Amino acid sequence: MSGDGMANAERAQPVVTARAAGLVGCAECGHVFPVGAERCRVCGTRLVSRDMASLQKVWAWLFAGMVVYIPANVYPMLRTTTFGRTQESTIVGGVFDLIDHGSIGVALIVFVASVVIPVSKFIAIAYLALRVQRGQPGTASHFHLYEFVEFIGRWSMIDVFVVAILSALVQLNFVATIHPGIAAVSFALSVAFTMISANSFDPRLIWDAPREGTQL
Amino acid sequence: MSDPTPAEMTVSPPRRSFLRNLSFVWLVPLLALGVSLGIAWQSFSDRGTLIQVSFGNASGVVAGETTLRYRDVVVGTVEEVRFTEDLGRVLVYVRIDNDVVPFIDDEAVFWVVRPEVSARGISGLSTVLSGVYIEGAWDNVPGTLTYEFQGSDTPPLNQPGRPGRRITLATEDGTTISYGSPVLFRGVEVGRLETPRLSADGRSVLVDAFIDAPHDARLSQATRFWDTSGFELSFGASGFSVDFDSLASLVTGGVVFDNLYDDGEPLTPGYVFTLYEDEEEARRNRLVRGPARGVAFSIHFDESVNGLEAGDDVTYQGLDVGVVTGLRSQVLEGDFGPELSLIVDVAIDPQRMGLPAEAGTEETVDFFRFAVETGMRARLATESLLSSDLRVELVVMDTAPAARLREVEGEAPRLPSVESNLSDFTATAEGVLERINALPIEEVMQQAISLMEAFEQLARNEDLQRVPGSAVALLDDTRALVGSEAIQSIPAQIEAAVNDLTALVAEVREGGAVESLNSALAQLDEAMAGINTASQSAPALAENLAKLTEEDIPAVLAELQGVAQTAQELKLDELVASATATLNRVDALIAQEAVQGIPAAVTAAIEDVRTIVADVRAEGAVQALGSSLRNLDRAMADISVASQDAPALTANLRQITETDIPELLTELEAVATTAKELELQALVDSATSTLNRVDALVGSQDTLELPGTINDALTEMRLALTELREGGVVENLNATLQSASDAAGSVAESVEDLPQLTARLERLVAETETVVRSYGERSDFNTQTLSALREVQNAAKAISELARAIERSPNSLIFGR
Repeated sequence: MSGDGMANAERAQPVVTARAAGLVGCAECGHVFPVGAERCRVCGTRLVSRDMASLQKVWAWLFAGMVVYIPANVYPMLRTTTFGRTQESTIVGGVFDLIDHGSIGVALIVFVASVVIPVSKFIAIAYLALRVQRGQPGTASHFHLYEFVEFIGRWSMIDVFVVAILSALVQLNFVATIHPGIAAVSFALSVAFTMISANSFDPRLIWDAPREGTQL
Repeated sequence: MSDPTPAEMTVSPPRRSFLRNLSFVWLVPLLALGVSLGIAWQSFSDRGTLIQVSFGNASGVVAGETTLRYRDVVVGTVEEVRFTEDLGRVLVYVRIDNDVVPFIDDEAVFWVVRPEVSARGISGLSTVLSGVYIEGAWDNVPGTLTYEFQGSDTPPLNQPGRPGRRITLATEDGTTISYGSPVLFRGVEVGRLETPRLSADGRSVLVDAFIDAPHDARLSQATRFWDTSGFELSFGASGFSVDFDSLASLVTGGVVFDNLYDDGEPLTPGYVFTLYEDEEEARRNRLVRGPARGVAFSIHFDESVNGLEAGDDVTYQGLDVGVVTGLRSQVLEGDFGPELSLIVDVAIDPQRMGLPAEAGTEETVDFFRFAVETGMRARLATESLLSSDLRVELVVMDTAPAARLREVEGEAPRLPSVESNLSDFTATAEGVLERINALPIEEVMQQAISLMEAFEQLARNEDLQRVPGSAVALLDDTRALVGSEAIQSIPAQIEAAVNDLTALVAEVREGGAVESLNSALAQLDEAMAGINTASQSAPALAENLAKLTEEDIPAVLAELQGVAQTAQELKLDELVASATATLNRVDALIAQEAVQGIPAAVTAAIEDVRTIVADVRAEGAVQALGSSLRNLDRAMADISVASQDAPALTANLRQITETDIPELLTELEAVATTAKELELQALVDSATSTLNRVDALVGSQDTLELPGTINDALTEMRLALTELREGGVVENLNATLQSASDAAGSVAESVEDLPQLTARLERLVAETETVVRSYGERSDFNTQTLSALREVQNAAKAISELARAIERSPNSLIFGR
């Protein structure tokens, strides 16, 4: 993302922000324009100096993601029918099953992708959003955190991916059949919502906050 | 970058109002929350009701996997399996779908379906792969929800909601009934038996059965159940017969029912049917349409009721009108103080007596009161000629002494009885004596008298004056002969001989002589047919004979007449005198010691006969008789063949009659002519002289003693006759009849026992084979029975092979091999 690059570049020196300079930077291409410009002349993105609704969006998507994460864990992810016997497994149940079968590596991957990452994402986004809300100044590490969250978010989808592939491939009628459970949809939604949440976050607010606080 | 100085800007403060600042994006989490809550609510409300079913064991039941099915549709899942507190039973918690919950009331039953291989087939095969499941059954009427159930290990026969009727059968022997045995009606399976159980007192075996609708409508109190243990062997006058029902009932046993009469009383709650051992017994034990329909009477018999038992028929002119319900003795006040009397309790069905269907006890007793006054009596009668079973017979006797229905308060009305005219064996013996009595002894006496008269006339004859003396001597000797010990012992000998004969008859009866005789008769039949053909040509023969009679015989007769005339002219008087002399000579002959020894010889002969009979018996004479009958059979066959030639023979005969006999007659005529020419006179004279000479040998002094001697002789004869009578001949005849009866009885007994024998299949098969082998190698019966047995054997082998195959590789059920 070009925006990130730009942010990285600016981090080095204690600087005048675009906003302080009376400019507005394009979040997509990094081109700066004078305040008041409506759209980026390079890429056509709408220019906003600071997206003040950003935090609301972050919180809203984050809550949505957390809400749907509950059924994703409570309801079965997979319904496996083998020789007439139907077995339903939730995410955590599946992890334990894998451990039982001795596939600790796979269990670890599933556990990290399905539990650790989403939960830490919730925590990270909530932490960043809270800091911004409280006007605490952000540091470089916070920005790294934000970058990491945004980067890692998509990998949570591997679980959904596995379910989708299995459901498509394993349709052997009586011998074995796999159907996705309600949790699969919920989990996919949860991942999507948290990604939107992370995307909605305007990283400029991280470094913006103290100054604004002082300014206001 | 030409204008580096950015202008100072006034930044307006953000709007502080929270509500106005609220973004639409908040709808997303709200929506998500709503949807999640909705899903949660839906799954909560859909998750059904938890019920608890307890089982003795829960083999194969897995929490979360095992399903509950109703009519093979999954309606619930086992959620939890655990034990009761005392570990006595397994509790299975099943979550049941909400749409069937209203129907789960206390009538619902649950059982575990497992794969099962039995004589009736393979069931629950699908569970081999999918694991066991719990099957539930309930009716389709919503009821009060119940949460706790007792599950059964086997499918209950009367599943709720399945139309039909549950009944209870009681039997004494539960060896041939087992769980799932079919209940058959005219060979069609209409129900199944449940597991037999002992009654509370342990004296009988109770088994519940479930009869499917609509066949349950046939059940009434007229219904009788009996055991069909597959095989039924019966042996009777019509021969040997083997019956067996379906293969399943052969292996597992089965129960058959039928209605003994129409419009039986409907079943009362808790009605228990009796399961009889066989059809015959079931049909015999029809206790007159249940106690409600029979009107109780009692009968007092003076004679022995040996052979009568509860369940025997009461008949009126051959029609069953009731049944004997019991026998007891009772002390009755008789003319000479208290007497022990035999009382037979009977139940009479009024409807069978022609009374209206609604007639009660009152009407029936009224009817009998009238009937008794018009001569109705009870008496004992035999069931059949050979059996000693008795029945009670109601008869109308116009000649019976007047009697009334004796009615005592609190007791069944007593029907008067009359002496039976039993054709039992006492009576039979009597009949034999009667027949002896009926022998024409009178006529014999008459003839003896007339003979005496003739003698008298003869005695008046001058020449005969001397005869009495010799006759007296003759009679004396005869008396001595009759009085001799040897003759005295003849009756005893005869008795022994008859004894042997009795045994022989018994053996003959046991052996297969009758069959041989039968076939011999068949052959004889054929022979008769041949003879019949031969007789076709008889008329021609008759014609020839007639011709002969017309032409030639008159001539012969004329000749003969001439001879007779000649004879008439002879001096017969002299001849008589000679005869007297001859008698004297005979007397002398009798007086000789050798003649005296004749009775002893006769005795010895009889003894020999007896010995022979004994030997014959010992040496397998019956077999010999059998073989001789078979020979006779063959002989008959030969005769039959021979009789084919009879027409030719007849033709020859005709030829002979046509040609040879006239010649013969001609010669006869010639002979007659010659005879006429002979001097017969001289011949008679010489005969007379000879007789005279003989006459001279005998004195004639004892003429006066003749009557006394005759008297003595007659006395001796009477004594002999008495001895004959007393000497056990009659007893022996009785014994013979008795043994015949015994033989019949044992045949009857063995017939009754045969069904029992069928109880154990293996033993039965062995026995049957033996019997069959002895029955002849090539008979139809043998072949059929053997093939039936062979099929049974094959079936058993196939079943065992199937079982072994399944045992070895259950996979073969899926993959075919």
